[in-house]
Amino acid sequence: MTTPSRVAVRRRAEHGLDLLNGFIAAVQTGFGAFVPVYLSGLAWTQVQIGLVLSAQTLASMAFQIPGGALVDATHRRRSLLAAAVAATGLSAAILAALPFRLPVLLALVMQAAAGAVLGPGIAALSLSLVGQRRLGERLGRNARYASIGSALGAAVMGGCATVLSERAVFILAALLALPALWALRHGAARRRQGEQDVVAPPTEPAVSPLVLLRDRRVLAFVACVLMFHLSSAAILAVAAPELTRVSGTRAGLVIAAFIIVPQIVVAWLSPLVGRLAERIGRRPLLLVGWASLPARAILFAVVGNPVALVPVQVLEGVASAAFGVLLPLVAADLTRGTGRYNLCMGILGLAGATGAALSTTLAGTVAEFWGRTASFGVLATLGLAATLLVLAAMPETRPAAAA
Amino acid sequence: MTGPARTRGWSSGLAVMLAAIVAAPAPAAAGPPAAAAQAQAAPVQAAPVQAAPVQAAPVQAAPPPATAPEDLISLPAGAGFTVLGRTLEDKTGQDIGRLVDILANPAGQPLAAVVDVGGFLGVGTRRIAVEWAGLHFTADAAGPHIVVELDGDAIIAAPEYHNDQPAQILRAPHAAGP
Repeated sequence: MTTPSRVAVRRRAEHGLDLLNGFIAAVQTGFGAFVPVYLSGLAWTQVQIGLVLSAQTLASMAFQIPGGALVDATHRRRSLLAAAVAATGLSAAILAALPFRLPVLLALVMQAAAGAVLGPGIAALSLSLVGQRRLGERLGRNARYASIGSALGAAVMGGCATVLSERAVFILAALLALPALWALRHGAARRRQGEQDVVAPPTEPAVSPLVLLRDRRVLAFVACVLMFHLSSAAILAVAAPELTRVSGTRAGLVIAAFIIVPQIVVAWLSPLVGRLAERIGRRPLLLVGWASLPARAILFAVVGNPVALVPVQVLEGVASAAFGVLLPLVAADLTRGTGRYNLCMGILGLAGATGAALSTTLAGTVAEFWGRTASFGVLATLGLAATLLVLAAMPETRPAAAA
Repeated sequence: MTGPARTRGWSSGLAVMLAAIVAAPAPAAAGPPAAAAQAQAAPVQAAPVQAAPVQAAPVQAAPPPATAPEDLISLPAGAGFTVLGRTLEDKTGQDIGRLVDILANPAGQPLAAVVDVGGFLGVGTRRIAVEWAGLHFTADAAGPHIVVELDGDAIIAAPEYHNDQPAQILRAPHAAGP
């Protein structure tokens, strides 16, 4: 039984969580896109920039599992998340104020660590706010607001970079951490009373991590996540230079469209994916999401006109919406009652990051020796294999609960 | 309830640190990289340019032997500017990319500038090489400019430059006169 005030509290908490997703996504967009541009403008050589970016990627991968385990184990989840948000803002401030090799390296590593905590942390917050049954829709909302925040953040930061300077982008990113902290205050509700929290509280002993790794379903999902990124992460990287060449001075607009279209689709579709995941199950949506990967790769191989390819990016939006909602949802299904939800998220995050890194290396090598079409062919084949893997190895994980 | 108070504490701490860091002087930050880039990019210098003491230079325990005045070349302010990282403009004045590297022949003469062109927020950029003699260096009230007298589309469509392969350098109209 919920009293009106309890409903109001929860609604405020849900709005807080929405805004938290938006602001965090906006801050992290600054780190993703503007760092190389910013450092180039400060006469950093390409080798130096490549080194710090590689260090950031490696740190991000290394922190995935420890970050997840930390969120699982901590008693003070809210403080941990607040620290992670503050650390992200601080990293942006360091980039703005001290653009030297060591501070930049430390700032990027710190941001990677914070990101590894924020991903699982926000999912855990969502779970403790709405419970297992409404988790799908809540995660859909998370993905929607993250997408909106990211797109708006990119637009505002792009404007900042043009009108002011690239340094202003990082000052803005740092300042955005403050509303994110405010949103966290509202969004991090306390554990719901009177209903079992499926994430076992840290006071009870959680199951051994090995139990997680021995679960066939978990291993299957890890493989599916890895294959997803393996077949999709490199597509834009392989296609973009040629698109730039044929687009000439309009290349900036074309690439911007390529990035915006999937964001719009994700913002639009994610809550629907979340609701459908509850109604018809996870498996159909997994199949649809994963099947769009080979379709997209094939279309990129066949279609050369940049403008005609922009609608193809709708497929990327579909895949991202499915992935963004289903990853935390299936992870919650698989770890129900084990107290290892965030560790599982960390493992899946590592699998995704590994797949993405391998994807760009593999696709780049194939493109160099056998051309771009061959590269897309390889990515399409990997996408097909990923879809077949989902078909064969992933069971339906929706808990058979009363409606 | 310790939650909101703790979050407030993080917010205030972050705000104070941000204010302190953002107020730190940024021009000093540009000193060391700028000096290094000037020494790197200055074309055909017989003796390496020793930058005048920059306020960000670290204090050393044992002072090194002083460089004699006859070993130094004085560079007046505005006489030299960083080249790496500077945007390149096409003949219509539109920004087309950033200069990210310089190719020099074994005699040390610059042959070409490597430019990152196109793309959006770093996604989809291509590297192309433009001949050094085709770069026009000018300066106006807005600062130094590097201009290439070619159409932006032609520049962006030039063959891609790769580090370890023979380069194809785009010809560009040379600057007229001495």
